[in-house]
Amino acid sequence: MSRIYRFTASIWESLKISLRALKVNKTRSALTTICIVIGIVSVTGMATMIDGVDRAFERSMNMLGRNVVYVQKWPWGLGTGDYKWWEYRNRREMKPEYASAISNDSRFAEAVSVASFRSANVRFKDRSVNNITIQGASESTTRTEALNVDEGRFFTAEEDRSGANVAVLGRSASEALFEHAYPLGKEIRISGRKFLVIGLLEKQGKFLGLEDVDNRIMIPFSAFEEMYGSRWNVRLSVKFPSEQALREGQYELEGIMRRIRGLDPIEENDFAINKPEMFRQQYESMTFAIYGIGIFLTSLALFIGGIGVMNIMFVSVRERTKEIGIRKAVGAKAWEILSQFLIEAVIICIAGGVLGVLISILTTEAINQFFVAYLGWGTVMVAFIICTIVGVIFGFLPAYRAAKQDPIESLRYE
Amino acid sequence: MLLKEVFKQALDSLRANKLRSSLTLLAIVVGVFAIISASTAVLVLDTYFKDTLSLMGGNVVNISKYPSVQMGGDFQKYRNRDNITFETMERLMERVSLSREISPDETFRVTKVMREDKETEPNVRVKGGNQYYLSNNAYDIADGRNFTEQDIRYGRPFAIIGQDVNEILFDIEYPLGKTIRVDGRPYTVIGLVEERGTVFGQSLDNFVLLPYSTAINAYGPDRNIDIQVKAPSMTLLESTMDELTGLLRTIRKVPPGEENDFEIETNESLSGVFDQFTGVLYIFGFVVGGIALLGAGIGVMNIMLVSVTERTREIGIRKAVGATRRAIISQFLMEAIFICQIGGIIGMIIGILGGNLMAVWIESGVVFPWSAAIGGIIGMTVIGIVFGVYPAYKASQLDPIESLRYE
Repeated sequence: MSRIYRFTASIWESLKISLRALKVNKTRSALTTICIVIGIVSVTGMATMIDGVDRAFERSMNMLGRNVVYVQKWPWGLGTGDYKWWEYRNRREMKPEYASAISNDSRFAEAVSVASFRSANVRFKDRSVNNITIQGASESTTRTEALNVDEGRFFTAEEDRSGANVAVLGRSASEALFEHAYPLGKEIRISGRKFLVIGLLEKQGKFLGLEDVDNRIMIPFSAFEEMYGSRWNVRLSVKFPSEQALREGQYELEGIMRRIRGLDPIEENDFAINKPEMFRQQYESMTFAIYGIGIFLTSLALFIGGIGVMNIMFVSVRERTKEIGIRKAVGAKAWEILSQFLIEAVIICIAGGVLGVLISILTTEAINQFFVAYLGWGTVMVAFIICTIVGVIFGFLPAYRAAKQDPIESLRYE
Repeated sequence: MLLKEVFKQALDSLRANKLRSSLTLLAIVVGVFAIISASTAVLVLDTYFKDTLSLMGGNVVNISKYPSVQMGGDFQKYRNRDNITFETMERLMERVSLSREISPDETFRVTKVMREDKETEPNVRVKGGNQYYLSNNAYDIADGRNFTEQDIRYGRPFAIIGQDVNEILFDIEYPLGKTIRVDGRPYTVIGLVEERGTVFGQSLDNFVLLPYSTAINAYGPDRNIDIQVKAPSMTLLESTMDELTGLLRTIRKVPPGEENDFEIETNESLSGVFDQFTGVLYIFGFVVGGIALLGAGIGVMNIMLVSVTERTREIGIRKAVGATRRAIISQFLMEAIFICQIGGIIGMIIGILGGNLMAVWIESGVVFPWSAAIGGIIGMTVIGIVFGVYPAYKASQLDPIESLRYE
């Protein structure tokens, strides 16, 4: 019991001594803290940017749908090593009928949808807008693409089958066409054909910061087929209920597609199963090096701050040689001296951390003006942990030297 | 004399506190390393881009219907323009006074090339050119000869091939004089081009070059081509562009006051796009490195302040025996500058080495950032002054009587 008491009492004592020491040398403490602040601000600044980019990327990935694979003629990844486009060119086109075959045969798939895209001219009354993406879609597209309908409704399976002239609008498309008017129930003309607006999609933003996915109008696939045909660029999306199901389901899917296509066992696939995961891998390999370099460069600033702390702690130990000697002479243990100086270092670092995080909140705002950044609780926590560790690491050597001093020599020190 | 003394003092005091000096030095080294390695790495990237972009010589002007780097989606505007045809080029050739070296650049087909029982993948670009094509695109003849004017005029069935095609079709055989087949038509190989390597993952050596008249006979003349014109020198580049613009407007009957209905650009204008990209990176590296350096500077200031306090008595004595304020200021200022310089030079060396790791990584040439090195030495002096001036000023303001009494 008395041991614990001694421990807490001496830690309390160390804390008081450290605070007093910091107060005595105000300029010095302030400057050392600024060093740490600079380090923390630059590291957290980098971390917020990385988080921001990652989140933006995740949002884009969600647009592709979670646990979804695409069955297409062309594999993704043009421009990578051995992309044999001259072989893919000769493949047969995808057919929309495959969708029902897949959904009938697959045990894993949760939903299968067809999609085809076309850029077209759309009119509302005398207002005409060019280059809106028209997407022929299935009723199940809401599930494969994880779409939410904000207002109105999506088209039903029945409308999908019969090729009803109904349209669901993305935000940008709706704004371009209607400006401030209320779009639901209005009639628009897509490539001259009349469509009734029945729904408005939730705003999704830009895919990978490039393509505005809200600038689209979705119509039933059969209507799309009647207008533009479906011989080219048909894409099948297969959604699985879970990652586990996807992992097993993609092999089943491959088998089903091979059967549909009537391929011999020795023939190669004449279709491609594209996984958004491939994007992620590419993204990760691309950003890994950049993030690594960024974090490395910014952590140099923190390292410099740490060195500043260490330097000042050495000075502090030397200046207080006599004080240490006296404390030891009246019975202070080595670990008590050690803790005194360690606490001093850690206090400086944590103070720097608090200020640094506060400043980071401002810089995050500033960065958001021209780039993406996100300051999460995780980053804040990590910043504090790093501060403490920096304090302990860079404070340890000076504190250790103080603890090991010979009290007799110290008392004699001038 | 005075400078020497000041220098010696600085060195002595740094030596007296070895631990402290080396830690401060380390901080400066790391700070300088951060900024120099970042800017070196960006410079490496920049050089890499520039190198890969110099497909054409610097003084070649490129005329095309579409801009080579297209930002935004105003595609409609370009699509409605008239094609640039071989006839446009021939009319241009008749009228241009500043340059004779005009060549067409058109890929007629992307297909396979055959010879006896060997054939390539169907990804070989079949290009049409003339005798100026190779020099305008910075290709060198490795073996054989270039096209002559007669080859072009009579549409002879000759071909100049790139190394990739050569390797697949001829392997260890001698290609000159042999016949290759493209789309069933035979061509005699008269020249072999030196290897150029890959740009952004695309090989520059996977092509067959035919006289454009020959290619027109095979594939038809009705197409949109690029025209390349080599200005006689860099200094005449502007006037060549002006002349070309004027002639093209006349040939294409663009009414005065209306925009050009073609793109005319040089390699320089192309690399501008990449300059923007590397510019952003440069600023980023500079900011990040600069922040680190700022931290190091504050560390120097802190230690200098401690140093002034510790040596209060010494300062008092120096003042008592007649040292002026200027002498005290220069003593401490020199110390700060000195430590910054040493740290700066070490940091710069490590930084330049570190930054060039980037060059190893992307397999590009090693660079030495002269401007950063010179800027670094000046910059470190400035940092030494900025962060040393306050402690030095503080030291100079000490009252000698009080200082002597200081414990």
